[in-house]
Amino acid sequence: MKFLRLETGGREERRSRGDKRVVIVIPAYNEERSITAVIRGLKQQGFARLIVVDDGSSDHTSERARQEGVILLRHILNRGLGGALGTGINAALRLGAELIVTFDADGQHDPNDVGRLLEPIENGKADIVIGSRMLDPIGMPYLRRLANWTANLVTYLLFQVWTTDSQSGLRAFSSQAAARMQILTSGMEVSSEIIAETVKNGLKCIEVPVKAIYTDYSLSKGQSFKVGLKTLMRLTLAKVRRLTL
Amino acid sequence: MRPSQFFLLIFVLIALTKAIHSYKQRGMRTPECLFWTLVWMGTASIIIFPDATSFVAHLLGIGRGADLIIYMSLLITFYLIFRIHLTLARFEQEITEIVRAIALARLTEPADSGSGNGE
Repeated sequence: MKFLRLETGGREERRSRGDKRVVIVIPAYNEERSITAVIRGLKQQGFARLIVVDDGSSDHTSERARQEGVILLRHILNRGLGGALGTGINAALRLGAELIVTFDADGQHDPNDVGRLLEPIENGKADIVIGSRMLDPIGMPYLRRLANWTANLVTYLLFQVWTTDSQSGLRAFSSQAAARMQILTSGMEVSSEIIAETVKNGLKCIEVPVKAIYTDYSLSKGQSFKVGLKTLMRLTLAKVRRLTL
Repeated sequence: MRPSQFFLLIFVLIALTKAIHSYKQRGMRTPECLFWTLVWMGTASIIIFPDATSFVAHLLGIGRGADLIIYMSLLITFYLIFRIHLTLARFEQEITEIVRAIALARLTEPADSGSGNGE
């Protein structure tokens, strides 16, 4: 995997209002506290087409999202991150998106970074861009760094791809790349699966540094140690499944 | 006959009766019923003639017949667990597909966001 460092401080012009080619997919599960701010932040950057996939939330995530005028899709049952991303990407393709961005609903991403994620795809330098929080891990708690590094190692062992942030939720795809990916897993293990699919389909993937906004809230929404272990197990089983199917 | 053999045989008999009963109720197909009959008959013969397993164990280079049975049981159990995992994973995926289809059936784009060619 090639690493491309796009330094900040360059041109960060706002997207012309309503860049219709870009669709942003926001998977959300019980994010009523942060979803409104996330949507507003993205709209301020000029992104008008936002898909919120409410993954069976039991709180007011759907209502909050609807008030902000987004394309809202609701899962009647909680299926996990992979399930929600699959639905959102599918919808984005149906709406004729040319560029698809995935963006976490917990407020840990900076909407300013989306433009820099899209640039390499627009310039034909990449099919998939992953926003790595680890290339500039300022403000990332040490335990979180260790957990991410472990996840990267596991991803490498299972799929032979080294990334600096295999669990990042901020990614951009060209529609052709998104259409070729086959997402089979439903849970958090999807992040590593996307990377595996990139390699399988011979897609060009690069990482760009992004800012991670760690608040008590966004930290509480990340993968706990227990969930991390579960992800690890499911990822291993998914690998076995891929080998046997 | 030792008491342990007696109780194990009763258990096998119950299992065998269940299989045949299920076959008669047409819940089980013929090959399936044959398979389970063979399995339980085999188990019964091992219970009655435990030394027979020692013979096979020696052939395979395993010390005791009882060890052979434990190894085999573990192997079969792990295999069955793996099969169950695969089935569950398939169910999970199918549930996700149903949930996704229901969500996507309502896909419409609000008038103020983009033009697109919404379906």
